[in-house]
Amino acid sequence: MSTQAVAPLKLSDRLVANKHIAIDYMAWILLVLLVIVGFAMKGTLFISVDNLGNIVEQSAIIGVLAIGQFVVVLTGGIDLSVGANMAMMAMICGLTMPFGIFGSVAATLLAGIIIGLIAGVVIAYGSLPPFIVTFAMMFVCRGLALTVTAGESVSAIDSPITAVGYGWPHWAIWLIVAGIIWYILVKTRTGTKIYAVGGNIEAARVSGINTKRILVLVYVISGVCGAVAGMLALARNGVAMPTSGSGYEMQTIAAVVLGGISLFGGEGKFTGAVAGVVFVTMLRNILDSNNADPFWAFCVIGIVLWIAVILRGLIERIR
Amino acid sequence: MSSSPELLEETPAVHTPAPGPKEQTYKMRAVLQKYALVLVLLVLAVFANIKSEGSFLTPQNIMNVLTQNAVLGVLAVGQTLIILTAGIDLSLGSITALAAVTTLTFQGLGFFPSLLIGFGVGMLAGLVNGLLVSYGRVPAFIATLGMMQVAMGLAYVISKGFSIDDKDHVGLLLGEDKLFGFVPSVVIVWALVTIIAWFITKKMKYGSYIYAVGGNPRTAKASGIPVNRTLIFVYMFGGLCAAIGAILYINRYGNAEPSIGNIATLSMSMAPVVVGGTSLFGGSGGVWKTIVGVLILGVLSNIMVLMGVPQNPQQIVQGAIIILVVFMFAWQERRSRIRQ
Repeated sequence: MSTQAVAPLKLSDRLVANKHIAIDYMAWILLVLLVIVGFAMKGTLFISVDNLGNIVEQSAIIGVLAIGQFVVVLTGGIDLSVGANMAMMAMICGLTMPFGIFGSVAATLLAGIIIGLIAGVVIAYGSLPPFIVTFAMMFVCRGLALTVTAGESVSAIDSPITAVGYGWPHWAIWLIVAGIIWYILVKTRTGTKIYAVGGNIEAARVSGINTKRILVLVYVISGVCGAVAGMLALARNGVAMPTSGSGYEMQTIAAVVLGGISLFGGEGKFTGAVAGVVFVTMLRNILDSNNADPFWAFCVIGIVLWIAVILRGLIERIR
Repeated sequence: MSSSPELLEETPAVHTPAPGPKEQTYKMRAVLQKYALVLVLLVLAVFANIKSEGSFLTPQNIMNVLTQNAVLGVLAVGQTLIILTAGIDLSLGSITALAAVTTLTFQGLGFFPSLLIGFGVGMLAGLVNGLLVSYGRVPAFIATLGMMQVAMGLAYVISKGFSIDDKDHVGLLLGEDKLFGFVPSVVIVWALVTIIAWFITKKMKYGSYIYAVGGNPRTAKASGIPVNRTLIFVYMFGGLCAAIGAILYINRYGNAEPSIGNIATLSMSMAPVVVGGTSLFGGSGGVWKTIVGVLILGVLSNIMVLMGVPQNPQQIVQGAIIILVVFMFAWQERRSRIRQ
């Protein structure tokens, strides 16, 4: 086309052109830094196979929830009910255990679909801000979890699900859920539509995508992820506590933002979210191993979320 | 101000025909729409009165209802100003818990020092929210979600998870528990906060800034309004309201525990604001509307008690009602936008 010689880009221009790399790999870079910090504090104990295996195992529940959160955030929404939803699903799974493991799993998945459906329909067809609807949903779920047993825990020690919980590696279930969602997002047209809705909802509507159905779908996915995480929590602990999962919505959102996913939707890599989850879990691991008050973790993760969002905004505004 | 009727009479009535029946129905509709919620409140109150066989609408019980809703009422007033700027504060419940716990931790210092420390903590939390939303350009719900966790975590760390008793009677405002032996001090504080917020929004320069920022932040910025300063102001006012709510809570219950922030009604302080008709998209609404919203929800929960609904399901029913009402309002707002 043109015969003009292309001038080599200046370093600053190249930095600007590649700033998305910094955003996409923010979680990985921070993860490496955190490993160094952990190593400095705990020495070889921290990078032992045992401890790293522990971290991966611990991240399974948050990981499953974060995948649901990831899909929701891709459409520019947010799901604040994931933690309470998980607690309620664990209760449902524990309470329906007398009907056999398959009946119980089916009932829990169904409950997850229903919760997601309610949130999704209200958000999509009511044109309401997702954070308000899911914030209310958080209290509805928590209230239901506290009501069904009047605040008591449900024990499932002798049921088959704990056998699965003790026998199976939890990260395997995380991997399966992640694989399914990755397949939907990358290989199917639905995945393309989800990205399109997040990128520009008006454009998506004009180009013939049923945006409302997509919005409902992502909240249903998040609800199902909540159901899987609830079953995982029950299998892991042997009991379902109505107050469990408090602050999990925060950890999933922090993981997703650290993973470079835009809160306004449409942008973000799947692997980033996974790295974000490992980062958040490793942070909790380091705090726990220093015998800190467990509630410091709430503060630290809140501050990490703030920093991540500000950092992302700053990188995006580099010109 | 509108022209007085005498002036209209004097001008030759050539081009001003009498309002036709259609215009009158429009006017009627406008009036009805303006006072629809007050009407709903009255209907609910009358229903409660019938249900309780005449013991609901007694001055004593009305005071009880006001007292029960004072903490939420103060938080909702703070929330109103924030929502008017098209923001949201999810952290008000947690800031209340943090301020309550801090106030009682320092109660040994005396009444005013501990009070000031509590207010300072609330305003500091609000300042952080405001800085994040304005200069940090963090979406309001993310910034305040973070604050919800940070404040709750700090409340647990400070109190070590235990309830703290109000040994030195920090919560007893105005010296006495009831003014004139009838009006509880918490209700007076709520009224004062409401009047101050009304004065700020309607009579001060900052008030018009708040509405302008909520209406359209770009236009506001272009017309020279200090958008960032206004945002910081409303979040700090919200934090202060949360700290005042904390004192009222201590006054009512005589203790403070870090789990206050988990109380659904306190955390959902945006619910009465929306029920009262303030737009979640900012720019329209007001403080008095919020008071009507608080009272509607308060009377509703009283009706639930009268009908014998147990405590825990009450929360769910209330949550469901809130979602339903918010849904209805958003739907109506969308319709009116389309009509315009």
